[in-house]
Amino acid sequence: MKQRDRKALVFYIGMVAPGLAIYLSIVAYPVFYSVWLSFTDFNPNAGGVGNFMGFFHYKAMLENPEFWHSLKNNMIVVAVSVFGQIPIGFILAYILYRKMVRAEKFFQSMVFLPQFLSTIVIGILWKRLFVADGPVSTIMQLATGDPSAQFDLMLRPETVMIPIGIALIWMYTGFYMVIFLANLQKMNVNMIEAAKIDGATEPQIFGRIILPLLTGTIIVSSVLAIAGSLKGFDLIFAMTTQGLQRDNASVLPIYMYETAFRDYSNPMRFAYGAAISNAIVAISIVMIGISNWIGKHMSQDEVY
Amino acid sequence: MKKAVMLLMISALVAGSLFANGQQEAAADETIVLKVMGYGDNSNQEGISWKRIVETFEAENPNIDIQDELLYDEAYHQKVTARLASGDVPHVAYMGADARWGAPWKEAGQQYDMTKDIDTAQYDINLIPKMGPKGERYYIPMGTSNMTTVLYMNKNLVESMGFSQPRTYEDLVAMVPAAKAAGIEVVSIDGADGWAWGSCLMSALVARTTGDLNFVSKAVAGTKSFTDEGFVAALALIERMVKDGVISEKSVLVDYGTNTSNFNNEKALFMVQGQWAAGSIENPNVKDDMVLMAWPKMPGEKAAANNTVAAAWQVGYGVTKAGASDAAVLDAAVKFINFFNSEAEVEQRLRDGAIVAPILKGYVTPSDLPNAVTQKVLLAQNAVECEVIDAFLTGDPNDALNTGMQKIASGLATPAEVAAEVEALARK
Amino acid sequence: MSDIVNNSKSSLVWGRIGKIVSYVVFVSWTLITIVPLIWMSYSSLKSNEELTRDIYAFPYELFDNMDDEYTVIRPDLNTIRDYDPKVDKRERICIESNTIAPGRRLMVFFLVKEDMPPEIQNLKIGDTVTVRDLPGSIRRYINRKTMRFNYESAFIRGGLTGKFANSIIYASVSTFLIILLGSMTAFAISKMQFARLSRVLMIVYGLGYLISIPSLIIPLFLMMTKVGLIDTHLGLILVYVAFGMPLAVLLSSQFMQGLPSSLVESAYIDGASVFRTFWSIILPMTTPVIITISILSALGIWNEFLLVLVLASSEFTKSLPVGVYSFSSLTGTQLGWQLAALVIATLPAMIVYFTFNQRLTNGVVAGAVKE
Repeated sequence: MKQRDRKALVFYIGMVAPGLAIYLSIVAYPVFYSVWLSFTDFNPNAGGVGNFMGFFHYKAMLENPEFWHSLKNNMIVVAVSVFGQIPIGFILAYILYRKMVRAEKFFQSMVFLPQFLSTIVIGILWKRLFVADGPVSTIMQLATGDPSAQFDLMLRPETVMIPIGIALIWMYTGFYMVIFLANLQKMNVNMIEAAKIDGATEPQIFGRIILPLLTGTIIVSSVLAIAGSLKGFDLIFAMTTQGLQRDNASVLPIYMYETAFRDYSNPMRFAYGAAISNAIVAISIVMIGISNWIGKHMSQDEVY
Repeated sequence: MKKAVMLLMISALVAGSLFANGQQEAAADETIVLKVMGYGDNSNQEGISWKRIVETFEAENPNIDIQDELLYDEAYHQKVTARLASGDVPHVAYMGADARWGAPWKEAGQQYDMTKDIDTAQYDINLIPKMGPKGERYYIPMGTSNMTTVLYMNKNLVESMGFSQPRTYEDLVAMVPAAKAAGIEVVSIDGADGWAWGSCLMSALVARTTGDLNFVSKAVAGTKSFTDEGFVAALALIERMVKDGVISEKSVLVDYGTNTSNFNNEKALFMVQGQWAAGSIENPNVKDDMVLMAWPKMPGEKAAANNTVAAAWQVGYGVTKAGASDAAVLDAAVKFINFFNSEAEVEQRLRDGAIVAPILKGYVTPSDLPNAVTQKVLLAQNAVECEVIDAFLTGDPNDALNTGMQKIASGLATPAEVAAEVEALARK
Repeated sequence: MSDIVNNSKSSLVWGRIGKIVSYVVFVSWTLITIVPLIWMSYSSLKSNEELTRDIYAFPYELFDNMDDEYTVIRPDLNTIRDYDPKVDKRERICIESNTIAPGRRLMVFFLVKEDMPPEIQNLKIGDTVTVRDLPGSIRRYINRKTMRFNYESAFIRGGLTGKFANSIIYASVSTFLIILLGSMTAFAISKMQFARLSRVLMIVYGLGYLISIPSLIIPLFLMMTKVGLIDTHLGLILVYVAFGMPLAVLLSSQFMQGLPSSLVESAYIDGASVFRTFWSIILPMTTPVIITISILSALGIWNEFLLVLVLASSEFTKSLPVGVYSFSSLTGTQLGWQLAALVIATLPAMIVYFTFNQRLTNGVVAGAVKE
């Protein structure tokens, strides 16, 4: 018996080990490495010994207005995802589900398409659309009759997140739409039919039957949206030109990248960058925790 | 089961062979292996000429095996860091002595003084600047000074509108109404790129308004301040240019490629650019008669700085400490660098518009050079050189200055505010 | 009675308004998706000058090239020849376009002197000739080359062919390994004893969901540098596999748990080994989940950018997104090439999308909902 167990354990390990070895050395180990790094002055160019620096980098980060600016933009991206992509995705899914438009397969695939295009390609394309006297400005000039009209929202820190938000909604709403649609289709049709016979209006059906049934999906989507938007790098990176635009639109991953891989004047750039990325992980864990907590409470309410 | 093993093996083989491809085959005993990091890519002349140079050199020197890596832009800098960090230090690399091109080598202690290896019969040693604190020369620049604040003028277009080459700023302002009426810009700049404002415009303006050709290095060292009247006045000039319409408000939305296209397609009378852009002007109507000039006399300009153009040391190839540690390798490295800077290659670089003037001893400039190149040489001979800002000011304060100028141009900040921010960051 | 009528009337009105709004939303969404892509596609056939001249005009210059003028030039060191001068010693006349990137030696042709009519043989350096005046075969060749200028440049000068291949290698090899290692782990977790060990494994992999490539990019860079895997295919594939494991393990172990354990037991009784049971009994039944994981992993890796940007620096290892991005780097001036590169990167994804539309949609749904 004992021996059989041992033999089984060997097989178990044989099945698990290859994957686990790769996973632990490439995902788990760097997590600890990153934490260690952020407390040192490690620079591989300069010999590669790391002296302990305490919370030096975290302090510097919290004192840097760029960090707070990037964090604010990151929160806007989160908000756009949770309060923009998810509700709009829901509404679009509902329209398709209730067959309020014809050719619903076509429209569905059109809204879902951007999800499958490379973010970098989309970013570069949109950047091209926004240049001076470019495609968007030309349309604005025709529409307003003002030949000097330019699309300049990217130049101002207050407005830069508008075009980026639109791009984000356009790119990712399809994802949530498809998820909601799948869940709507799994619902019991008889309940809706019965409610209709009872004289319930469309808004009533929506609010009293459909919405409560999808709370779980909404929570899962929110978690996905938060996690996705905190690590988002590609789209904003490709859409902005280095300088004022990228500074305006900076989010934490961009701030981290520009610090660690571009700021050659800072001899501790890798350590400082590691501190920023640890902050990103910490923030996303906290936010996902909060949304889970809210989710639990909301679904508990329903039970009672 | 068999299938699984097969598939695993195949994928391992694929991965393995790709991996192995990266390392070159081991060299024979007598061959000297020279590890080189080159700069360029397939889409530019630097890359095309690089491949040819390496091939020809290897053919002429069968005992030297060049293991080269050709990278461009950000990828180059990243790979430099990576190779230094992993201890795989190249023997020869494309480098400079400033914060961007020199810092990694300095950090890693890989800078090597080439002075005694420089063949004074090939190079004019006076044209190779002393880069280190003790007069060390870490690399051989590809050419003489790299002018960054060049004003390109479309001579035919300017003349067709009834104007001539501007002597003062007011001459430029006088062109604004006519240019507006024609739907073109007076001065085009790639204002979406933050660095363009600093490197290609402000560097010259600072000298003009402070009257000090070395103001930037002094301000970085702390003997001058970025809040000094002269520096603020230079920033105010940018504000004024936009207000006067000399530089268009929309410049901040124009990127590098669009800027050159604008000038190329005669949508602008002038263009702000570095000397390196001369080769990318394609339109024969423009390039055959264009004039490369220093900025005309600016309002409030100090006499000491008339006709200044900012210029930095040209980058080039140098030997690292790792390359110099073995006499045979050092010998091969110097030989390769000399081959890279042979007269035929240098002349090609000159014709391509990549450099201003060669640093070769007794070099006679050919008479049939294209106009763009002649213009460059003329400008270099006549202009007074001043410092390029980002050769001295780096990191946060430099970023703040560049974005600050973009803000000034779009009316989001005042010159005094930007100056104060830069000063505060520079003193940190 | 009248109440009911009123009610249905107003709901009819509301229904109609809802319908109109729905159409407006979906149609404009479709336009925002499609118009930029169409603009990108036809603009990629325009010359550099055309692109700045009139932003919406249809391509013209590269197609109407019969009257394009060419100048006879002396080839210099950097002129790329389309023949090997060491082997082919025939004398040639070198001509360069006056309209497409003149002076930059991007549109250069070598005419074999002996094949040319006398009036062309007699041309001297600096003389000009129009395409129309050239003999038929070379004329057609120049016609084609001109039309395809942006695309050929993107593929050859921009090295997109190799980057395309790299993208395929990364996506396919990594996905294959993710599936194999992920389902092996899932089999152990769901169909072998040691429940406590399995629970620990699930937590370890579950935590992986919180970690993304961007948040570990710095330690990954330093680590890969140290072990010499930076700028290699193997290094990138290992990272992709590691980050793909959590999804694969969670999805497939959930699915395998639903399969009856009796299958495994009877296989053991028949004397099958553990791996054999996994490979020939459980794995084939897991196909639906495998398809889902393949789609999600392969697509994610195909579009991944930051890792390649940081870990791959040479042409030999870069993938398509980074290749396309480098066209728009600081000093890039060839606007037409960039658009062609964008089309090249988009087209395969579009083809896959429209071919496997339903499958992809289902896959994404499964991946998200099962979490």
